[in-house]
Amino acid sequence: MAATNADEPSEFLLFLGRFHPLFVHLPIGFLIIAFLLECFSRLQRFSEVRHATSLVLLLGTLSAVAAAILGYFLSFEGGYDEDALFWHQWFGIGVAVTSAIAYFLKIRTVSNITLVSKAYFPLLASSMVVLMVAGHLGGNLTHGSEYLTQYMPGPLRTLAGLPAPVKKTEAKPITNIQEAVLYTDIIHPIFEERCISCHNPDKKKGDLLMHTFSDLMKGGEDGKVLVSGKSAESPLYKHITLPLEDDDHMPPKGKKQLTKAQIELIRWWIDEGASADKKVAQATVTEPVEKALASLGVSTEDEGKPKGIFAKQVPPAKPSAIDSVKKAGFQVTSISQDNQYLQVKYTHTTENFGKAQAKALQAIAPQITWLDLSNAKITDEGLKEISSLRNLTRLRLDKTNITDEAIASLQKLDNLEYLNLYGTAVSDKALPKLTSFKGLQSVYLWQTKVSETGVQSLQKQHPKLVINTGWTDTNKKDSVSKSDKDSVLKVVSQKQ
Amino acid sequence: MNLFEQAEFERLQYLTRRHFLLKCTTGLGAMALGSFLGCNSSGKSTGNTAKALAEHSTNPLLPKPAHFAPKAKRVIFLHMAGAPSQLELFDYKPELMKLNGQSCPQSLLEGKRFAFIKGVPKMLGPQAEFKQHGQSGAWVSKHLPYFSKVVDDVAFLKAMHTNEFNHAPAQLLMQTGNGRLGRPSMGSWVTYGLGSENENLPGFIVLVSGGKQPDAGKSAYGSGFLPTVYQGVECRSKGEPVLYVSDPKGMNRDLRRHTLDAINKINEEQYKEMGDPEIISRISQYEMAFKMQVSVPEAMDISKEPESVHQMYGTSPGQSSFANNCLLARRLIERDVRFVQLFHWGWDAHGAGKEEALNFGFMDRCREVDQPMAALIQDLKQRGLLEDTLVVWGGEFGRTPMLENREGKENPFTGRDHHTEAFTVWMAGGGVKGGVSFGETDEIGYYGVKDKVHVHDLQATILNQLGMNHEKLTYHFQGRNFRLTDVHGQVVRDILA
Repeated sequence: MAATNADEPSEFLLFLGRFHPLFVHLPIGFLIIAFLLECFSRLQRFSEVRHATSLVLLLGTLSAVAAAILGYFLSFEGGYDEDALFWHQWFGIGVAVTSAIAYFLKIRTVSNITLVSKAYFPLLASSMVVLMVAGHLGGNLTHGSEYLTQYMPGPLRTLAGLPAPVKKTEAKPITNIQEAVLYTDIIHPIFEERCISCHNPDKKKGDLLMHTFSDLMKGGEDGKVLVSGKSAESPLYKHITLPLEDDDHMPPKGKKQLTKAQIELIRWWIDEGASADKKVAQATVTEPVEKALASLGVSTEDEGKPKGIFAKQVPPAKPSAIDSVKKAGFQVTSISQDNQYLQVKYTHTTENFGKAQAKALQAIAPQITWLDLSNAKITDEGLKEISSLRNLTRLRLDKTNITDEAIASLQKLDNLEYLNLYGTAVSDKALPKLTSFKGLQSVYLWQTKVSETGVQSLQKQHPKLVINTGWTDTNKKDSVSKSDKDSVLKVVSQKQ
Repeated sequence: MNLFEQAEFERLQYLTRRHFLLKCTTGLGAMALGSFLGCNSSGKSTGNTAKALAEHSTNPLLPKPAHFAPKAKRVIFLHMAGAPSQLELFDYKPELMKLNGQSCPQSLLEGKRFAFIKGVPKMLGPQAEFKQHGQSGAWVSKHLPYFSKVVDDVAFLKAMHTNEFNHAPAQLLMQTGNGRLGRPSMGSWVTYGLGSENENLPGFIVLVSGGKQPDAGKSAYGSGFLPTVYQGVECRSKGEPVLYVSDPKGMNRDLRRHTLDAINKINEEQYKEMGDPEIISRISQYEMAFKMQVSVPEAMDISKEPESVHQMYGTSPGQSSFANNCLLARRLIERDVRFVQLFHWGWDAHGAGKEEALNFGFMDRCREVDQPMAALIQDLKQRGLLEDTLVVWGGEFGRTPMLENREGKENPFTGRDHHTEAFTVWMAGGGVKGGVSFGETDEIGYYGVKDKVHVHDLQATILNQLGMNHEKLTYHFQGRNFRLTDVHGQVVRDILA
């Protein structure tokens, strides 16, 4: 039975140690009963039970000592958080010691030594407290410190002084699969779901920590678990693909198992270099991988995925910058929760929109994508500055004093899709310049100086552009509607 | 002081602060417990929500970001109260013409319940000539000559269906997502979700024409369990737009300002003391009313519109008409009002009287709406507003392909009964494809047979165009979250650009 290695604990002691979780419930039961008997025996109705107290207390003490010894053996196994183990160990020993002393006092009480008899009950009560603490710490060691409070209702948490419940980090829905990061968006959520409950700083099974990328890379007691680019040589992949009956299969038998798709994705990630920041777009997606990805509820072509400028993310604007723009006479509103773009409207339409106002916008230039300057008094200098708002897609200049020159200064706006020029002095001269807007989809030219021929030649150069010149075909409309009115009357007379 | 009072007095003198505290322990404990339990109860008390709440309480109508980038920023809903007949307007059924005058086969009547039809009615062919219009070749009857010019901007939903076959419940279902009273209307949900970009006007404005309120009454644009600040504000198109908003004689604007400042100051004191967010709500409502005294008359005054515009819409200032309301809708949309709701009453063409006959009253209604609704689309379009304004047109249900025989007897005029299984709704602008017809009904227009769209699907689509996920726009009430679409609704993606 001698240990082969001085550092290695004896297997027999470990075998005994494994009985600790089973045995530990005996002192808990016995000591609580002893305490209750003691309390009841002080009531006259139940005074007979006092004879049973000392025997139960003796059993409690003996089992507490045994449980403490077995627990000590179990601690040889390692893999527990040392701090938590330290406290559990000493509180466990505390239970054994206090209950033993209480027992001796109990049998001495019979011989009526007053001081001792007075110390007995407080001691028994304190052994109860120590028992509770030791038991709780033990539970924390086995199940994790969050186990007890995980589903605690909010109000109770507040009473217990705990922070508001942390929502279980659900895997964020992947909106754009091509931009998804293999590790953070796909692999880590799998680990979170199946592995991290044992491989975390509280439990450290096999000395392997999987809760962060760097800890995972450090590996466990047998060294590294990942061989970059080679799943077949990576211990992690070997363990998860061993037959379920194998002792080394992970997750252990009886725990929730990885699905085939999850295993396939882990293989893919390791073969792609087990990198922390590689994106799906940079990896080769084979058919089985695509299927596995689809099983996560993600398809490679997402219907609701943002289009155009909204597919590109920009950093959020600083609140101070937004405030300064608001002070300059603009209404600033964020467009939606899934991006940082802003829509801006000039509200001080009685004042000029000049260089100062346009400069103010520069503070949030990357975020502005919809700009409404309708009805404003725009100076040429002010408009020049607008051309630096590169992410602008919708620009309203309707009912302003802008002229043909203005259009030229806007030509740098590559992303512009919508340009509203109705009610301005823009003429045919401006139209050729419109062809240089690559992304332009619609332009509004009602009540301007443009002519039909000018519009026609623009349409020829830019066949897909929607050009609206307003409801000018009044003559045509009248003639058609007149005949239609006649037919309506005809129907009426028929029915009559 | 009698003996009893003296005894009582002496007893009170012996009462000390300790007695007081002793007696209070349970009460104080309960209060402390209450604050412990209350402060975390919602389970979502993150810093962010707290911040949002703080903003919320100062102005509940502040613009809020949508869930995702929206296609439409504003909505105009043209509700044809009384339910126009799809068979005389958009859903062309030549087969039904052949069956005209024949008795309805039993198979179509078994297990059915109608509002008025009794026994075996006769089939009724289309009471209008149809023609295809525009590049899309959309079928539109000759009742709508102006509208037939804009069909290429419109997406038709031809296989709409609903659950309710009486006007009030069906209007409630269409506007609030539920056939019973008590739910917030679509406009309330939208302003609750997105706020308003114009701080001088309400975010949700209602205009009624046709001489009668919708059957569902003000509940069709009420806020239900949402804060009342989101309810539709009805403006009159004739006389004072909003009653009692103008100052009485002898009260000038400065004096009003002083009065409001004083009232607000008292309210603010009260708020500091009590912390009740409803007080802030009250302050902001006073301020809104003050601004509306100027902004509403300005927005609602169509007399300064040029003559060409009046010709286009067929409007005449000072009247109360659907045409005036369409022009007002455009003016409100120009001012960034979030949701404009129009009701035009009088489409209930049963044939029991001349006003509700398909060949009389119904045709008057067509003439009343045709020009202005076509003009509205054109006008929004030439101003560049149709791209981000969604226009929705529809009634609360459809009409039967059978001639109504009220109480089993022949009606004096031609008409159709209420029908839940098939009706037409059209949408324009706001990211909806133009020149599209989605859904089909059977040969006689009795049932939808392809691509059916339920009222909840329509609502989900409207919210989707505004950048909102109809499943995420919720409000917690009586222990659970509520949505406009209840537990239903599928966005109709086929008509989206």
